[in-house]
Amino acid sequence: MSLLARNRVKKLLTLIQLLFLVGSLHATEYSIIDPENLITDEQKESITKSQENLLQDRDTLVSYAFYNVNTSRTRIKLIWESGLEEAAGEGSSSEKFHLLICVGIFSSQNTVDIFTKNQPVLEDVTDLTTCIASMKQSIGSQPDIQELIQNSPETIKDRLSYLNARPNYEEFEKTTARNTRTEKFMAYILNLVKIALFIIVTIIAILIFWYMLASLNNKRPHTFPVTKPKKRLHSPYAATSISQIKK
Amino acid sequence: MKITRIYTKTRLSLITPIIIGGLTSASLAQETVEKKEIELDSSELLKKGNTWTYAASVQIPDNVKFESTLKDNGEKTKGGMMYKYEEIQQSIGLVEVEALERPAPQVNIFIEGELTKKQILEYREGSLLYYGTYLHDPEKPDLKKGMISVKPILIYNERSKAADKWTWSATGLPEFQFRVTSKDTEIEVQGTKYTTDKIQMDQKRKGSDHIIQSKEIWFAKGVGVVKEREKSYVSEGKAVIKTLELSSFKNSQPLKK
Repeated sequence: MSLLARNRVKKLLTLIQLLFLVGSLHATEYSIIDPENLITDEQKESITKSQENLLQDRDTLVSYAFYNVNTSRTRIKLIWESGLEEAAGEGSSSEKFHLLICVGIFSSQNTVDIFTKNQPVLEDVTDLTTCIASMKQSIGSQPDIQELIQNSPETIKDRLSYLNARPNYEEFEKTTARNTRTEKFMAYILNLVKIALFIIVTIIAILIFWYMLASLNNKRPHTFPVTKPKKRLHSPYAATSISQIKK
Repeated sequence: MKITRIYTKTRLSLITPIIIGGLTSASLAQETVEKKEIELDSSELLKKGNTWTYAASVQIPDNVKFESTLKDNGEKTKGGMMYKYEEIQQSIGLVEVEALERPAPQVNIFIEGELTKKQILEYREGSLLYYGTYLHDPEKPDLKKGMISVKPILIYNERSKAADKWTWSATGLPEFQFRVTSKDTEIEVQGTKYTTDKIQMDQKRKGSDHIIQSKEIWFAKGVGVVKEREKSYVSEGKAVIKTLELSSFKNSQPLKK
């Protein structure tokens, strides 16, 4: 059989395996997708343990996928997504954060892609992409599959501890900022009220003082001058416009 | 009475703005004074003689050319060549920093006993601030060649909470993003247990998701950096990995340069 024909048969077999895998996925929310049997059973066991730990410690469902030249990451992603849809259809899916660590095993260097579902909603949209990019580069820098399987859980756990806690932190910050604004506003109003009260009290005090002075002034005895009309031009009567003040 | 009333009104109408003006100008004056007066770092952490000795290692990927001047010949690992050495960081106390126009603590870095770098750091109110590094030239030891930034990079803040984040950026330089990934976590480093806060630093190109360098820093209050893992990404997704683990922290006589 020629090389070309052998490769075609290989790809066909892989496709059949993939289809079988899709059919056999049953309400699994995290999985190991390895259609080409690129990893050993011990490595699968190690991954399963780390998946359980990540679910317990970080409340996140982390799936791993391994592929080679006979398939592509796009197909792997479709399998993963269809598995999640199937779980949703069976009513057993969760709203938890889902991660797919998709590892391409090649002779020169392994490639890592990370896909997400139900990711936390952060104020800064680039925050999530930076964390995922940092996770991807860190996992991808591992020299071989064994090191990747061994070391990736720590990297994932670390980044997840930030991503999972960040929404609560942002909410806390918003609440604190709102409370601080309210407190400052109340303090400002209080200051204005104090100033207004000070002014009002001062005015009232001045008015009271003024009234007291006026009252004192009014209580003093007053002697009004006695006016006598003056006769003019031998008139028997006096005009009130001319008067002689006699004290 | 009319004249009296007007006088009072005028007096009253003047008082309120004077009070308000007085309040604001007082606070402004205080702010201006605060900006000018920066107290010198008198922290215990960076006091003269404090010495941190680290067991260090650097892993170089196979496709990276590296001319080692280290005593260790290196060990072949899956990730490339691994070299082990000792790094000592010692504070020499306050030195005059021209860019900052004031003295600041200087920490000398020795690799296998040879002085290589001098870092300018400050520790204020629980925050570790990094101003920059001078590269040491053995032929011209007094020459200060390097970069000092007036705006420091905040490496660690004691009061930060888990999931706290801060960024440092400057024109023409990558962006440094810091995230607190854990608080008060106990770890064992070189046989000693510490309660640490962990900070993840990512240095990334602006406008891109590409990470140039990432660093994990474990910081213990009263001790400083007890562990550090730095990954500098090179071609083909590989990374040069440098690890520091604190083996001792004490106050000792200045090391000879």
